[in-house]
Amino acid sequence: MNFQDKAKTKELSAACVRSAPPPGVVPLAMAAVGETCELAMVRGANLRQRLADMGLGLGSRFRVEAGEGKGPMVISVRGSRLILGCGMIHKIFIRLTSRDSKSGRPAASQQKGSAS
Amino acid sequence: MSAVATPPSKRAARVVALAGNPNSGKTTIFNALTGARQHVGNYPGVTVEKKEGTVKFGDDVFTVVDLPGTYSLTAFSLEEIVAGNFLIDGKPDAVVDIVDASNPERNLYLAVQLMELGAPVVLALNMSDMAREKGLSIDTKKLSALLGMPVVATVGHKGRGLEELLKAVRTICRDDPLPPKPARRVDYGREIEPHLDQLAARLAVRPACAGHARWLALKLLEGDGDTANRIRSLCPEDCGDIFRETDKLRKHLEGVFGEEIGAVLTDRRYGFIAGACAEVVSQTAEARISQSERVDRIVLNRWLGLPIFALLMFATFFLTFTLGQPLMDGIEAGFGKLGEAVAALWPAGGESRLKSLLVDGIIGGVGGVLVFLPNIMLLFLAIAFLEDSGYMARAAFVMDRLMHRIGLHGKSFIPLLIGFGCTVPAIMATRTLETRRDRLATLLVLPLMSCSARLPIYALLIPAFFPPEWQGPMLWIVYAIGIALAVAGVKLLRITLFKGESAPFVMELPPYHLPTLRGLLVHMWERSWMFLRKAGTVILGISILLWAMSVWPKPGPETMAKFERDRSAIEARKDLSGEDRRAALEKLEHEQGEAELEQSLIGRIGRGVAPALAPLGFDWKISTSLLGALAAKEIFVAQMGIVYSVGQADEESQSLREKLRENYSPLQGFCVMLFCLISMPCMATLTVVWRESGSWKWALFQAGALTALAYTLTLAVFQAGSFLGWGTR
Repeated sequence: MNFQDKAKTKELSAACVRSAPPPGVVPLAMAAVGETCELAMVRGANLRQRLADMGLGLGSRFRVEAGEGKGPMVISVRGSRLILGCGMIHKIFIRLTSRDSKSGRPAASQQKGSAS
Repeated sequence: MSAVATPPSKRAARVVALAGNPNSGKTTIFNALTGARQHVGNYPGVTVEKKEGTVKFGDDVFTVVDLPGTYSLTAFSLEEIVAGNFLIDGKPDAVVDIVDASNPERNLYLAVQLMELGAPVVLALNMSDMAREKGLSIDTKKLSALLGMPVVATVGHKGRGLEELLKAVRTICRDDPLPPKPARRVDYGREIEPHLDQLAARLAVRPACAGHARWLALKLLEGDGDTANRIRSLCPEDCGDIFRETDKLRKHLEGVFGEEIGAVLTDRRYGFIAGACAEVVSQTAEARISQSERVDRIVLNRWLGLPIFALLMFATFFLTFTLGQPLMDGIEAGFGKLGEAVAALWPAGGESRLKSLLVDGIIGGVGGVLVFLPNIMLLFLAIAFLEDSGYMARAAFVMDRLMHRIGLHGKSFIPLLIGFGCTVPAIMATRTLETRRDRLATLLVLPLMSCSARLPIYALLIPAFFPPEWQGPMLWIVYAIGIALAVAGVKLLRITLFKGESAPFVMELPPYHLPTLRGLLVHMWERSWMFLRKAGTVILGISILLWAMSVWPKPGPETMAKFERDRSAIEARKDLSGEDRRAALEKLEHEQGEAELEQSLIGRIGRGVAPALAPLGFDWKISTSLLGALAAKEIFVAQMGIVYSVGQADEESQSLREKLRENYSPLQGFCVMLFCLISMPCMATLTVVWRESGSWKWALFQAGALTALAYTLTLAVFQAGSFLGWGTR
């Protein structure tokens, strides 16, 4: 079917990226608690849309609240906290923006996009 | 306001849909609005619960529908599809979008989509007290003007703002047709807007689509298959040009943006919301680390998370069983009294089929199940507390690493936990899992979580065969075997029937709440009611059937005549005291009962299958009792009581335990428990699996596979145990 072909193409393009992620882009699994990151890439259209609906679109900034290494993670974005399961943290790619200490939570106004 | 008289025909109940994100306090508002006037049904065709209630407000009556929580109108799980369809196709007279005011940005996303859909929306800024605590203040008037919808501040659990909410709903219901409101539109930018207008214009000429042409155009651009189908079914004429145009546009725009157009549109909507929030939300106090975050530092801690979780689970089960015990005893005594009272209606000594049906069949059967009601209600109360307080989401986080290893994710853990109480509501709880694969994998292994109905079997057998110091560990071993088999089962299903990755596990971590007593009771009752319904329907029916099977056919007339002769002989003997005579008569009655059971249908079937079960160490008496356990696991105990003719038996029955000790070895006792744990789930479970999976094939598959597994394992254990001489006499 048409839709499946499209999904395949997406997988292929994702595979291309897989071999060479853009410089500075790392899997979420590499982030440590307290770090602020920017969402750079998500593998899988479904997951990408799901995250976007929950306020985590490409380019949004979030902070890692809990979880390290292989386990699931808790991140905070747009004033709410989300659990990202074990399976997700290797499909989500980020750019590290700061290695902050205290309150790295991005305020609403800092995020991209405006009403105009 | 009320000067405009509504025509009587329009007084019929208006449908008000409650929409909102999960954890926005939607259910609290629903309960506060409708009180006890609610009922639970199913949406046609799917097994998602449909909660409805009525509210009377002045002269108006509203039917309130509590939709499943959704983050957007893009559907992922079954529940979200249902919610979306109801909003779009159900055409409710008003939609109340419940927004968590302490987290406006994410929550307003659904509101913006509803605004784009053109639904008659009233926005409820719920938990406005929490928002104030967080230092957020929201200008409701400005927000109302921005979104073009009435905005009301509410505090659901205190019932504040509900009157204003209903007033707004009444007003919006009366506006018929809706006057166009000068709402600000989401501006999708120079690249998209002209194309969007173009597509919308094409749709607008079709009368069926004219109402929400822009919305449909947006959905088509997102590549939403449901919308395409909807347009196809709505428009009688050919729509090929629209779909061709859509494909062309999508390709063009994806070329321009270098990512899917759906993501771009979502981004723009969030941009719009961010702008709106900048205008209406003001941070009046410095955002500080909330109480929830402080607690989570401990609860979600890498090292402390699991021990805390284990402790809470232990507390849950401990409380369930210790607090439940006196209540259980009470119910048991009550049913015993009821049985005696009913039996007393017949003259002493006289035998009557109706009496036997009432006392042994109905009261005995249903009573045997209702005894677990306190346990189950307490367990559900504890689970409701964990859910309402927000801990369940943390438990999902803590368990995710383990669950991921076996191929499920943290969310599957919640139904598995409920499975220790009763498999039926646990299967219903799998509805929150997003893909069918995840749901079926969880559903199929759920009966291996040893439910509370199997506890009486263990409680009868373990003290009968094992020394006191081994009784605790034995119970633990049985539960652990179930869990281990469930883990192995999921692994197996994952590499055979349900290959592929599980659905993305993304879940919101709600702030901790102190649950309201009312909410807890409502949630507990909903689940307990499912169990009660099972007791009232399936188990009642099967108890009667089993009773009939164990009564008919009667032994031949010569056998009956022999018992009659013996009875008169005992009564005629002069040398017996009253006490001895009664004992002798009772013994005779038990013998007669055993003979009758042997002749009865169930006894014959039991004897029929006994050779097949003999390699497992089961004789015909155990086989017969196992047949009873098909109806409900706990019936096994009562059946054993009947076959050993010790009269009324329960799991505390010492005389039955002695009989068992005389007749079986500990190895056989263990094998019975193993078989009861694994084999075919009860009828109620199978019925629910059938309904929830949408096919009786899955129910049959589950029954067959589990029974085969039980047979193989028990066979292996019994043969190996006999060979090595473990637990034999």
